[in-house]
Amino acid sequence: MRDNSSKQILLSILGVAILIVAVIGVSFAAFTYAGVGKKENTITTGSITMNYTEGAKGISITNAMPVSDAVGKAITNTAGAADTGSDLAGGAGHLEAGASGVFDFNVNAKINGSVTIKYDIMVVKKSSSTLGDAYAKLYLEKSTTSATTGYSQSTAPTAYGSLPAYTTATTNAGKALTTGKVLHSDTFTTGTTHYYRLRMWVADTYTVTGTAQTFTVTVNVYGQAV
Amino acid sequence: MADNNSMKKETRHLRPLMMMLVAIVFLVVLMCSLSLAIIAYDQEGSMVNTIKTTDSITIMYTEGRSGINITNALPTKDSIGKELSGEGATFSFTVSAKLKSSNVRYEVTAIKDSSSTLEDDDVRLYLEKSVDNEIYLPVFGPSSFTPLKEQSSLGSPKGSMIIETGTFDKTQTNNYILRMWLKDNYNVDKDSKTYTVTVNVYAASNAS
Repeated sequence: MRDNSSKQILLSILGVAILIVAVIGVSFAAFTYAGVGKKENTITTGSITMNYTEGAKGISITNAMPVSDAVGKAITNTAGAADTGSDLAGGAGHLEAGASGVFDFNVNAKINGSVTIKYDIMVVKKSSSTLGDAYAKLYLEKSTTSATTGYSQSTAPTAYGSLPAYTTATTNAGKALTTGKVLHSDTFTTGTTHYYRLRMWVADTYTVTGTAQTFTVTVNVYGQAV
Repeated sequence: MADNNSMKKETRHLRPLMMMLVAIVFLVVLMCSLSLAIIAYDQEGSMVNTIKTTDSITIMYTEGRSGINITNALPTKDSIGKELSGEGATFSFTVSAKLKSSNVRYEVTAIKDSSSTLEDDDVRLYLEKSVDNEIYLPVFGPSSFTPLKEQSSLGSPKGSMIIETGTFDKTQTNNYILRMWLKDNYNVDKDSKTYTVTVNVYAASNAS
Protein backbone atom coordinates (compact mmCIF):
# COMPACT_ATOMS: atom_id res chain seq x y z
CA MET A 1 0.00 0.00 0.00
CA ARG A 2 2.74 2.36 0.96
CA ASP A 3 4.61 1.41 -2.24
CA ASN A 4 1.60 2.32 -4.39
CA SER A 5 1.31 5.70 -2.72
CA SER A 6 5.00 6.35 -3.18
CA LYS A 7 4.76 5.47 -6.84
CA GLN A 8 1.84 7.77 -7.34
CA ILE A 9 3.67 10.60 -5.63
CA LEU A 10 6.72 10.02 -7.80
CA LEU A 11 4.58 10.00 -10.92
CA SER A 12 2.96 13.22 -9.84
CA ILE A 13 6.30 14.88 -9.30
CA LEU A 14 7.50 13.65 -12.70
CA GLY A 15 4.40 14.99 -14.37
CA VAL A 16 4.83 18.39 -12.75
CA ALA A 17 8.49 18.46 -13.76
CA ILE A 18 7.60 17.74 -17.38
CA LEU A 19 5.06 20.53 -17.39
CA ILE A 20 7.59 22.97 -15.91
CA VAL A 21 10.09 22.09 -18.61
CA ALA A 22 7.41 22.53 -21.25
CA VAL A 23 6.49 25.97 -19.93
CA ILE A 24 10.11 27.07 -19.82
CA GLY A 25 10.60 25.74 -23.33
CA VAL A 26 7.64 27.70 -24.63
CA SER A 27 8.73 30.94 -22.99
CA PHE A 28 12.39 30.73 -24.07
CA ALA A 29 11.64 31.27 -27.81
CA ALA A 30 8.38 33.03 -28.07
CA PHE A 31 9.02 34.19 -31.69
CA THR A 32 10.81 32.57 -34.60
CA TYR A 33 10.78 33.36 -38.29
CA ALA A 34 12.02 31.70 -41.45
CA GLY A 35 11.81 33.55 -44.75
CA VAL A 36 12.45 31.15 -47.62
CA GLY A 37 13.71 32.77 -50.80
CA LYS A 38 12.34 31.88 -54.21
CA LYS A 39 14.65 33.84 -56.52
CA GLU A 40 17.48 31.73 -57.90
CA ASN A 41 20.88 33.34 -58.36
CA THR A 42 22.84 31.51 -61.04
CA ILE A 43 26.13 31.86 -62.88
CA THR A 44 26.85 29.65 -65.88
CA THR A 45 30.35 29.40 -67.30
CA GLY A 46 31.21 29.65 -70.94
CA SER A 47 33.19 26.88 -72.60
CA ILE A 48 36.35 26.75 -74.68
CA THR A 49 37.75 24.02 -76.85
CA MET A 50 41.01 24.36 -78.71
CA ASN A 51 42.55 21.80 -81.03
CA TYR A 52 45.81 21.55 -82.88
CA THR A 53 45.59 19.18 -85.84
CA GLU A 54 48.60 18.16 -87.87
CA GLY A 55 48.48 17.30 -91.53
CA ALA A 56 49.15 13.81 -92.76
CA LYS A 57 52.80 14.45 -93.57
CA GLY A 58 55.68 16.48 -92.28
CA ILE A 59 58.43 18.06 -94.34
CA SER A 60 60.94 15.57 -95.70
CA ILE A 61 63.42 17.07 -98.14
CA THR A 62 66.60 15.27 -99.10
CA ASN A 63 69.64 16.55 -100.97
CA ALA A 64 68.59 20.04 -99.94
CA MET A 65 70.80 22.76 -101.38
CA PRO A 66 71.12 26.36 -100.24
CA VAL A 67 68.45 28.42 -101.97
CA SER A 68 67.14 31.94 -101.81
CA ASP A 69 64.09 32.88 -99.82
CA ALA A 70 62.14 33.37 -103.03
CA VAL A 71 62.79 29.76 -104.02
CA GLY A 72 62.13 28.47 -100.55
CA LYS A 73 58.77 30.22 -100.33
CA ALA A 74 57.70 28.49 -103.51
CA ILE A 75 58.39 24.91 -102.38
CA THR A 76 55.35 22.81 -103.16
CA ASN A 77 53.97 19.52 -102.07
CA THR A 78 54.20 16.18 -103.82
CA ALA A 79 52.09 15.48 -106.88
CA GLY A 80 50.00 12.72 -105.38
CA ALA A 81 49.79 8.96 -105.08
CA ALA A 82 51.30 8.35 -108.49
CA ASP A 83 54.29 10.50 -107.76
CA THR A 84 57.62 8.73 -107.96
CA GLY A 85 59.60 11.52 -106.45
CA SER A 86 60.68 14.84 -107.82
CA ASP A 87 63.24 17.55 -107.53
CA LEU A 88 62.07 20.78 -106.09
CA ALA A 89 62.22 23.86 -108.22
CA GLY A 90 65.31 26.00 -107.95
CA GLY A 91 67.40 23.18 -106.53
CA ALA A 92 65.80 23.32 -103.12
CA GLY A 93 66.10 19.59 -102.84
CA HIS A 94 64.44 16.35 -103.70
CA LEU A 95 61.21 14.85 -102.56
CA GLU A 96 61.07 11.08 -102.41
CA ALA A 97 57.86 9.48 -103.60
CA GLY A 98 55.09 10.42 -101.24
CA ALA A 99 57.22 12.87 -99.30
CA SER A 100 56.03 16.38 -98.59
CA GLY A 101 57.75 19.65 -99.12
CA VAL A 102 55.41 21.51 -96.79
CA PHE A 103 53.84 20.86 -93.42
CA ASP A 104 50.14 21.71 -93.13
CA PHE A 105 48.39 21.99 -89.80
CA ASN A 106 45.49 23.90 -88.28
CA VAL A 107 44.47 25.37 -84.94
CA ASN A 108 40.76 25.39 -84.13
CA ALA A 109 38.79 27.01 -81.31
CA LYS A 110 35.17 26.64 -80.19
CA ILE A 111 34.13 29.40 -77.86
CA ASN A 112 30.90 29.92 -75.91
CA GLY A 113 30.92 33.32 -74.38
CA SER A 114 32.88 36.45 -74.86
CA VAL A 115 36.43 35.28 -74.38
CA THR A 116 39.74 35.77 -76.14
CA ILE A 117 42.18 32.92 -76.62
CA LYS A 118 45.78 33.80 -77.26
CA TYR A 119 47.99 31.08 -78.64
CA ASP A 120 51.57 30.59 -79.76
CA ILE A 121 52.96 28.31 -82.43
CA MET A 122 56.42 27.27 -81.47
CA VAL A 123 59.02 25.08 -83.13
CA VAL A 124 61.40 22.85 -81.23
CA LYS A 125 64.57 21.64 -82.88
CA LYS A 126 65.29 17.96 -82.51
CA SER A 127 68.50 17.31 -80.68
CA SER A 128 69.78 15.09 -83.50
CA SER A 129 69.85 18.06 -85.89
CA THR A 130 73.32 18.78 -87.24
CA LEU A 131 72.71 21.77 -89.48
CA GLY A 132 73.46 25.03 -87.73
CA ASP A 133 70.55 27.13 -86.45
CA ALA A 134 71.58 30.00 -88.71
CA TYR A 135 71.16 27.93 -91.88
CA ALA A 136 67.71 26.42 -91.48
CA LYS A 137 65.14 28.87 -92.80
CA LEU A 138 61.49 28.61 -91.74
CA TYR A 139 58.53 30.28 -93.40
CA LEU A 140 54.90 30.21 -92.24
CA GLU A 141 51.72 31.05 -94.10
CA LYS A 142 48.21 31.31 -92.72
CA SER A 143 44.75 30.98 -94.19
CA THR A 144 41.44 31.68 -92.50
CA THR A 145 39.37 30.21 -95.32
CA SER A 146 40.48 26.65 -96.01
CA ALA A 147 43.39 24.22 -95.89
CA THR A 148 44.05 24.57 -99.61
CA THR A 149 43.47 28.23 -100.49
CA GLY A 150 43.77 31.73 -99.18
CA TYR A 151 47.26 31.50 -97.73
CA SER A 152 49.29 34.61 -96.99
CA GLN A 153 52.53 35.19 -95.14
CA SER A 154 52.33 35.23 -91.33
CA THR A 155 56.04 34.72 -90.53
CA ALA A 156 58.66 35.91 -93.00
CA PRO A 157 61.55 33.56 -93.87
CA THR A 158 63.64 33.48 -90.69
CA ALA A 159 66.57 31.36 -89.63
CA TYR A 160 65.71 29.11 -86.72
CA GLY A 161 68.43 30.75 -84.63
CA SER A 162 66.87 34.17 -85.22
CA LEU A 163 63.39 33.27 -84.07
CA PRO A 164 62.50 34.71 -80.64
CA ALA A 165 62.95 32.44 -77.69
CA TYR A 166 59.84 31.30 -75.89
CA THR A 167 59.42 33.51 -72.80
CA THR A 168 56.57 35.28 -71.03
CA ALA A 169 57.67 38.54 -72.61
CA THR A 170 57.48 37.33 -76.17
CA THR A 171 54.47 35.11 -76.21
CA ASN A 172 50.75 35.50 -76.10
CA ALA A 173 50.12 32.56 -73.89
CA GLY A 174 52.54 33.75 -71.22
CA LYS A 175 54.30 30.45 -70.79
CA ALA A 176 58.04 30.24 -70.32
CA LEU A 177 59.79 27.15 -71.63
CA THR A 178 63.45 26.33 -71.73
CA THR A 179 63.55 25.15 -75.34
CA GLY A 180 61.87 26.10 -78.54
CA LYS A 181 61.33 29.20 -80.62
CA VAL A 182 58.22 31.24 -81.24
CA LEU A 183 57.20 30.92 -84.86
CA HIS A 184 53.91 32.82 -84.66
CA SER A 185 51.43 34.22 -82.11
CA ASP A 186 47.75 34.72 -82.77
CA THR A 187 44.34 35.20 -81.20
CA PHE A 188 40.86 33.75 -81.35
CA THR A 189 37.92 35.96 -80.44
CA THR A 190 35.31 33.63 -81.88
CA GLY A 191 35.17 29.97 -82.69
CA THR A 192 36.98 29.38 -85.98
CA THR A 193 39.90 27.55 -87.63
CA HIS A 194 43.27 28.97 -88.59
CA TYR A 195 45.12 26.97 -91.29
CA TYR A 196 48.91 27.06 -91.47
CA ARG A 197 51.52 25.90 -93.94
CA LEU A 198 55.18 25.61 -92.89
CA ARG A 199 58.08 25.52 -95.27
CA MET A 200 61.73 24.92 -94.43
CA TRP A 201 64.90 25.13 -96.55
CA VAL A 202 68.63 25.59 -96.37
CA ALA A 203 69.62 29.24 -96.32
CA ASP A 204 71.57 30.51 -99.29
CA THR A 205 74.34 31.57 -96.91
CA TYR A 206 75.19 27.94 -96.14
CA THR A 207 78.34 26.48 -97.67
CA VAL A 208 77.84 22.90 -98.65
CA THR A 209 80.45 20.55 -97.21
CA GLY A 210 81.16 16.94 -97.84
CA THR A 211 79.08 15.91 -94.86
CA ALA A 212 75.32 15.58 -95.03
CA GLN A 213 73.52 17.65 -92.42
CA THR A 214 69.99 17.34 -91.09
CA PHE A 215 67.62 19.70 -89.40
CA THR A 216 64.39 18.51 -87.78
CA VAL A 217 61.77 20.47 -85.89
CA THR A 218 58.43 19.65 -84.30
CA VAL A 219 55.58 22.10 -83.91
CA ASN A 220 53.74 22.75 -80.63
CA VAL A 221 50.80 25.03 -79.96
CA TYR A 222 50.02 26.65 -76.57
CA GLY A 223 46.84 28.58 -75.86
CA GLN A 224 45.36 30.50 -72.98
CA ALA A 225 42.05 32.25 -72.41
CA VAL A 226 42.52 35.86 -71.42
CA MET B 1 -13.43 0.68 11.94
CA ALA B 2 -13.73 -0.89 8.55
CA ASP B 3 -15.33 2.31 7.27
CA ASN B 4 -12.54 4.43 8.75
CA ASN B 5 -9.93 2.25 7.15
CA SER B 6 -11.59 2.40 3.78
CA MET B 7 -11.94 6.18 4.10
CA LYS B 8 -8.28 6.47 4.95
CA LYS B 9 -7.44 4.34 1.94
CA GLU B 10 -9.49 6.56 -0.33
CA THR B 11 -7.86 9.65 1.10
CA ARG B 12 -4.42 8.26 0.45
CA HIS B 13 -5.34 7.42 -3.15
CA LEU B 14 -6.78 10.81 -3.76
CA ARG B 15 -3.81 12.73 -2.32
CA PRO B 16 -1.48 12.33 -5.32
CA LEU B 17 -4.26 13.21 -7.66
CA MET B 18 -5.01 16.32 -5.69
CA MET B 19 -1.36 17.29 -5.79
CA MET B 20 -1.29 16.86 -9.54
CA LEU B 21 -4.41 18.90 -9.95
CA VAL B 22 -2.97 21.72 -7.88
CA ALA B 23 0.25 21.64 -9.88
CA ILE B 24 -1.61 21.71 -13.18
CA VAL B 25 -3.74 24.63 -12.12
CA PHE B 26 -0.63 26.46 -10.97
CA LEU B 27 1.10 25.90 -14.32
CA VAL B 28 -1.94 26.96 -16.31
CA VAL B 29 -2.06 30.20 -14.37
CA LEU B 30 1.67 30.66 -14.93
CA MET B 31 1.32 30.12 -18.70
CA CYS B 32 -1.58 32.48 -18.91
CA SER B 33 0.35 35.17 -17.11
CA LEU B 34 2.98 35.01 -19.91
CA SER B 35 0.48 36.03 -22.54
CA LEU B 36 -2.45 37.79 -20.98
CA ALA B 37 -2.69 41.52 -20.18
CA ILE B 38 -2.37 42.28 -16.53
CA ILE B 39 -4.16 45.38 -15.57
CA ALA B 40 -3.47 47.18 -12.40
CA TYR B 41 -6.45 49.28 -11.58
CA ASP B 42 -7.06 51.60 -8.73
CA GLN B 43 -10.17 53.64 -8.32
CA GLU B 44 -8.88 55.85 -5.56
CA GLY B 45 -7.29 58.43 -7.86
CA SER B 46 -3.68 58.74 -6.76
CA MET B 47 -2.21 55.59 -8.30
CA VAL B 48 -0.83 55.52 -11.88
CA ASN B 49 -2.92 53.45 -14.29
CA THR B 50 -0.60 51.10 -16.12
CA ILE B 51 -1.40 48.79 -18.95
CA LYS B 52 1.33 46.31 -19.96
CA THR B 53 0.60 44.58 -23.25
CA THR B 54 2.56 41.88 -25.07
CA ASP B 55 4.97 43.12 -27.75
CA SER B 56 4.12 42.62 -31.43
CA ILE B 57 6.87 41.53 -33.74
CA THR B 58 6.78 41.49 -37.52
CA ILE B 59 9.72 40.32 -39.62
CA MET B 60 9.60 40.42 -43.38
CA TYR B 61 12.03 39.18 -46.05
CA THR B 62 11.31 40.71 -49.44
CA GLU B 63 13.14 39.71 -52.62
CA GLY B 64 13.87 42.02 -55.52
CA ARG B 65 12.35 41.64 -58.95
CA SER B 66 15.01 39.29 -60.29
CA GLY B 67 17.96 37.26 -59.15
CA ILE B 68 21.46 36.97 -60.53
CA ASN B 69 21.60 35.34 -63.94
CA ILE B 70 25.04 35.48 -65.55
CA THR B 71 25.66 33.28 -68.59
CA ASN B 72 29.01 32.58 -70.25
CA ALA B 73 30.62 33.74 -67.05
CA LEU B 74 34.33 34.34 -67.24
CA PRO B 75 36.95 34.32 -64.49
CA THR B 76 36.64 37.68 -62.77
CA LYS B 77 38.82 39.55 -60.32
CA ASP B 78 37.26 40.47 -57.00
CA SER B 79 37.80 44.17 -57.69
CA ILE B 80 35.58 43.85 -60.76
CA GLY B 81 33.06 41.44 -59.27
CA LYS B 82 32.33 43.84 -56.41
CA GLU B 83 31.27 46.47 -58.94
CA LEU B 84 28.94 44.31 -61.04
CA SER B 85 25.73 46.12 -61.75
CA GLY B 86 22.62 45.94 -63.82
CA GLU B 87 19.72 43.55 -64.05
CA GLY B 88 20.82 39.98 -63.78
CA ALA B 89 24.17 40.93 -62.29
CA THR B 90 22.98 41.59 -58.74
CA PHE B 91 20.27 40.41 -56.37
CA SER B 92 18.53 42.96 -54.14
CA PHE B 93 16.45 42.12 -51.12
CA THR B 94 15.31 43.62 -47.82
CA VAL B 95 14.91 42.36 -44.28
CA SER B 96 12.58 44.50 -42.21
CA ALA B 97 11.21 44.47 -38.71
CA LYS B 98 8.32 46.16 -36.91
CA LEU B 99 8.96 46.13 -33.20
CA LYS B 100 7.91 47.89 -30.04
CA SER B 101 10.39 46.95 -27.43
CA SER B 102 11.81 43.56 -28.27
CA ASN B 103 15.06 42.61 -29.90
CA VAL B 104 15.06 40.24 -32.83
CA ARG B 105 18.18 38.47 -34.00
CA TYR B 106 18.35 37.42 -37.62
CA GLU B 107 20.70 35.86 -40.10
CA VAL B 108 20.79 35.92 -43.89
CA THR B 109 21.72 32.54 -45.33
CA ALA B 110 22.78 31.38 -48.79
CA ILE B 111 21.43 27.98 -49.74
CA LYS B 112 23.39 26.23 -52.50
CA ASP B 113 21.28 24.35 -55.04
CA SER B 114 22.20 20.70 -55.35
CA SER B 115 22.24 21.00 -59.15
CA SER B 116 25.35 23.20 -59.00
CA THR B 117 28.30 21.73 -60.88
CA LEU B 118 30.93 24.34 -60.08
CA GLU B 119 32.99 23.76 -56.97
CA ASP B 120 32.39 25.99 -53.95
CA ASP B 121 35.91 27.36 -54.31
CA ASP B 122 35.27 28.47 -57.88
CA VAL B 123 32.63 31.02 -56.96
CA ARG B 124 32.82 34.27 -55.00
CA LEU B 125 29.93 35.79 -53.03
CA TYR B 126 29.73 39.37 -51.83
CA LEU B 127 27.04 41.14 -49.81
CA GLU B 128 26.49 44.83 -49.19
CA LYS B 129 24.02 46.45 -46.81
CA SER B 130 22.34 49.80 -46.50
CA VAL B 131 19.89 51.18 -43.96
CA ASP B 132 18.90 54.16 -46.13
CA ASN B 133 18.98 52.40 -49.53
CA GLU B 134 21.60 54.86 -50.69
CA ILE B 135 24.95 54.16 -49.13
CA TYR B 136 25.90 50.51 -49.27
CA LEU B 137 28.72 49.03 -47.24
CA PRO B 138 30.24 45.55 -47.46
CA VAL B 139 29.13 43.08 -44.81
CA PHE B 140 30.31 39.81 -46.31
CA GLY B 141 33.03 38.67 -48.70
CA PRO B 142 34.17 38.44 -51.30
CA SER B 143 34.38 34.89 -50.15
CA SER B 144 33.89 31.39 -51.43
CA PHE B 145 30.95 29.34 -50.24
CA THR B 146 31.78 27.68 -46.93
CA PRO B 147 28.98 25.38 -45.73
CA LEU B 148 27.86 25.20 -42.12
CA LYS B 149 28.80 21.96 -40.40
CA GLU B 150 25.62 21.97 -38.39
CA GLN B 151 22.37 23.89 -38.13
CA SER B 152 22.70 27.31 -36.51
CA SER B 153 20.81 28.35 -33.39
CA LEU B 154 18.47 30.48 -35.52
CA GLY B 155 17.75 27.64 -37.91
CA SER B 156 20.12 28.08 -40.85
CA PRO B 157 20.42 24.50 -42.06
CA LYS B 158 23.56 22.42 -42.15
CA GLY B 159 25.30 22.90 -45.52
CA SER B 160 24.12 26.48 -45.98
CA MET B 161 26.27 29.55 -45.45
CA ILE B 162 25.46 32.51 -43.21
CA ILE B 163 26.36 35.72 -45.02
CA GLU B 164 25.00 38.24 -42.55
CA THR B 165 23.87 38.37 -38.93
CA GLY B 166 22.14 41.26 -37.25
CA THR B 167 19.79 42.43 -34.55
CA PHE B 168 16.73 44.62 -34.80
CA ASP B 169 15.98 46.70 -31.72
CA LYS B 170 13.52 49.01 -33.41
CA THR B 171 11.35 49.17 -36.49
CA GLN B 172 13.74 49.27 -39.41
CA THR B 173 14.39 48.04 -42.94
CA ASN B 174 17.82 46.76 -43.99
CA ASN B 175 18.55 46.72 -47.71
CA TYR B 176 20.96 44.21 -49.19
CA ILE B 177 22.66 43.62 -52.56
CA LEU B 178 24.18 40.22 -53.30
CA ARG B 179 26.78 39.69 -56.04
CA MET B 180 28.24 36.45 -57.29
CA TRP B 181 30.98 35.76 -59.84
CA LEU B 182 33.44 33.20 -61.14
CA LYS B 183 36.77 33.22 -59.32
CA ASP B 184 39.60 34.78 -61.31
CA ASN B 185 41.77 31.65 -61.40
CA TYR B 186 39.07 29.36 -62.75
CA ASN B 187 40.08 27.54 -65.91
CA VAL B 188 37.29 27.68 -68.42
CA ASP B 189 37.23 24.40 -70.31
CA LYS B 190 35.02 22.58 -72.76
CA ASP B 191 32.24 21.99 -70.24
CA SER B 192 29.79 24.67 -69.23
CA LYS B 193 29.09 24.59 -65.48
CA THR B 194 26.63 26.31 -63.16
CA TYR B 195 26.30 27.49 -59.58
CA THR B 196 22.96 28.47 -58.06
CA VAL B 197 22.08 29.84 -54.63
CA THR B 198 18.88 31.08 -53.04
CA VAL B 199 18.68 33.32 -49.97
CA ASN B 200 16.74 32.62 -46.79
CA VAL B 201 16.34 34.68 -43.62
CA TYR B 202 15.99 33.18 -40.15
CA ALA B 203 15.05 35.20 -37.08
CA ALA B 204 14.16 34.71 -33.45
CA SER B 205 13.26 36.82 -30.44
CA ASN B 206 13.51 35.90 -26.79
CA ALA B 207 10.52 38.11 -25.97
CA SER B 208 8.01 36.62 -23.59
